[in-house]
Amino acid sequence: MSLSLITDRSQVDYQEWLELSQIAWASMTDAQKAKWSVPMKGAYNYTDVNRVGEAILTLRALFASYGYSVSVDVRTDWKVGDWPTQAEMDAYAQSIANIRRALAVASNTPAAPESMDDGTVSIWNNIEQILLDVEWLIDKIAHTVNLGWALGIADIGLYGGLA
Amino acid sequence: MSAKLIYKDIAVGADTDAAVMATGAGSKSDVSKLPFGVVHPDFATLELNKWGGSGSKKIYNGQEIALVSTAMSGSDCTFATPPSLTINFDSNYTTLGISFRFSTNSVDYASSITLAWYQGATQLDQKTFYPDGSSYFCENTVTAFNKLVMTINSTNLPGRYARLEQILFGVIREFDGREIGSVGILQEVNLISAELSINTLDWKLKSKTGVDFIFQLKQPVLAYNNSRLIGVFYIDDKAKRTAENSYEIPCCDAIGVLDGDDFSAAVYSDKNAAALMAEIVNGAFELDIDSSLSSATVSGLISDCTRREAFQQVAFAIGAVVDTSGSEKIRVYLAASSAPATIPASRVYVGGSVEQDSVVTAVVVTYHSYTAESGSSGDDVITVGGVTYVHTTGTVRVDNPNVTATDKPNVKPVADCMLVNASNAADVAARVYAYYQRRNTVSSRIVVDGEAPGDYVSIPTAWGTTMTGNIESMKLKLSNVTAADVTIKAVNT
Repeated sequence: MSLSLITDRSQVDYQEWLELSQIAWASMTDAQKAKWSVPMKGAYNYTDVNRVGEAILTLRALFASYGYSVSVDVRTDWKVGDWPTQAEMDAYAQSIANIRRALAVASNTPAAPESMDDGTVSIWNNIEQILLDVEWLIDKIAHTVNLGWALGIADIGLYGGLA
Repeated sequence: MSAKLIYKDIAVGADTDAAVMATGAGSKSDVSKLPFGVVHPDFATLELNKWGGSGSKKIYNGQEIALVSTAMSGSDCTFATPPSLTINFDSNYTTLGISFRFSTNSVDYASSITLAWYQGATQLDQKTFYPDGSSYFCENTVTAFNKLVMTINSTNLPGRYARLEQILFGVIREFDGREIGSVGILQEVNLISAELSINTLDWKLKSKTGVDFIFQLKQPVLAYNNSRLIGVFYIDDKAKRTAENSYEIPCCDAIGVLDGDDFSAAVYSDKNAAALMAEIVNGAFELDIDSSLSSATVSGLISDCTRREAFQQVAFAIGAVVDTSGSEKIRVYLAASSAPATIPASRVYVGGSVEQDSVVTAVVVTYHSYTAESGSSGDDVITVGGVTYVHTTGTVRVDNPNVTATDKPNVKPVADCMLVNASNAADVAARVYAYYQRRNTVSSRIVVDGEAPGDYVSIPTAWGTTMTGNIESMKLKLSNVTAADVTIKAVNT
C-alpha cells in the first residue's frame, strides 16, 4: 500500500492560480489556457476532494483489517461543478480528524482542519500530510508491534513514541 | 477633507415594481432579490479551478443567492442554453442604462449579455454588451419601458455558472470636488416636533464626462464628507440644465418627499406610534425608531393632510425628534439632554451671537376626544371613514411661576394637534413649556467634526462663557474644510 497524495502545493502555485483567475478567457494566451484547462495545484478541485476521500477510505479499510473501526463520512464521486455543502465538508474535515486521532501521531504531524472554510494551499497540504503520516505509522507499527495493541494504547493516550 | 456626492441615477420605484422571472436559474437562486441586491460569499465550489487557496472561500450553507445558473458554461465560455431573466413592471420607466453586479467577492462575471427592452409587446431596443468586470453598466437610454429581458450568453471563464447579485435600473455615479461646485446643505430639527423641517441639498454639477443626465424626481443623492454620510436627499422637481454640461440640482430629504404625498384622515385609539409612523411612510423609507419609543401609543384624529404633516403630529404627540441627517433612514428619537459633547474654541469661528426670546408666561394645550356616536344638535360632529364622531375638547395650562409684573403676557397655545388627548395633554404641555423656557439660541459658525442636528453640545461664546443645548439647525457648505452655521437651543444655566 502506498497512498499517492499531494503535499507540495506552494505559494507560487497559489499566485499562479490567482493571476490566471483574474484574466478573462478571451484574453488568455494559449499557454495560459492550457494551464487553466486542467486542475491547478493552487486550487482545490473535485480531483483533490476525491483523492483525499479515497485515501481516507483506504486508511479506514486498513484500520478495519486490524480490527479497528474509524468513523469516516466522505464521498469519492465528486464531479466538476458540484457545490459541497457545509454538512458534507464538516463530515470531510471530521473524517480527517478521526483518522488522525486513531493513532498517536508524531508531534510534527499537522493539525486537522476544523472546517473547510477559508482553505489555503498550506491547509490542503496538511490534510494530505496527515493521511500520509497515518499510513506511515500504520506501516511502522505493523512491522514492529501488534497494531491492535497499539491502537488500543493510542485510545488511552500512552503510545506516542514513534516520531 | 473632501466632499462627495453619490447620485443614484435610477428609475425610482422600479426595484419594488420589478417582477423577475428566470429560466435556467438554479434551485439555490432567489431572483426576486435581484432588484435589491444580495452579496454572495465567495463560495468554495468545484467548478474547475474555482476554489482557489485564497483563504477566503466559504462553503455553501444555505446563504442567500440572487442568481446562480443551473448549467455551467462550456469550454468556450458560452452556454448551450443561455440562462435568461424576464423582468416585468407595472409602470413605465426611463433609464440611461442598466447596471449589473455579478459578484462582489470574486472575479466572476458574464462576458456577454443581451438586453431587450419592451413596452408591452413592442420591442423598443435590443443590444448586446460585453462586461469586463464584476460590475458593469450597460449604457443605453431607453424611454418608457415596462419589460426587460436579459440573456446571459457567456461567462468570463469556461466551466462557470452564471452569477448575478443585483440588477440596478440605472447607474450609480460618484461626483467629487472636481465636478461638483458649491454644495449647500440645510439640516434642521425641532426638539418637540412642533414642525418637521425639510432638509435640503443644493448642488451644481459641472460634468466632465459629457454624459447627458436626465435627473428624475425622487432619485437619491447621498452627500458625504470624507466617508461620513451627511444625509440622503432626493431630487426635487426643479433640476435645471444651465449649460451643455452644467446642471443645478435642488434636492430635499425624505421629509420633503413625504410632503408630496397625501395621507387620509383616520381616528386612532391606543395605536402604536411606531406602527402608525410606518403606515404613514408607507414603505417609501426605512425608519429607525429609538427603542425607548417602541411602546408609545397615540389616540385621536389625524385629518386629511400630507404624510409629512401626519408624521409630525405623531412625533409631537409622543415627544420625539425626527431627523434624516447622517442616515439613510428617518430617525425618530428622544432629544439628548445629558453628557454634552464639547465643541472646542479651536473649531468655532470668531463672531457668533446669542438671541434671547421673550419670556413665555404660559402654555395652553388643547386636548381632543372623539367618541363614535351620532351626537345631538350643537355637538361638533365629524365623519371619518364613514364613522361619525363627536369631537370634544378641553385644555391644560402650565403657567410660568417666575413671571414678574413687568413681563408682557406671552401665552403659547397648542390647539391643532388632534392626537393630544386627555391622557397625554399634561405631558405635552410640560414638554412645550420646557421647550419655551429655553430662551437662548446660540448662532455660530463651526468647523464640523461629526456634529449633527439634535446633538447635545457645549459651545464657547465670544465673551468667554459656555452655553449648552441641542443643535437645531446646521447650514453646511461642503468644501475642503466643511463649515456649518449652527443654531443651538440652549438650556438655562
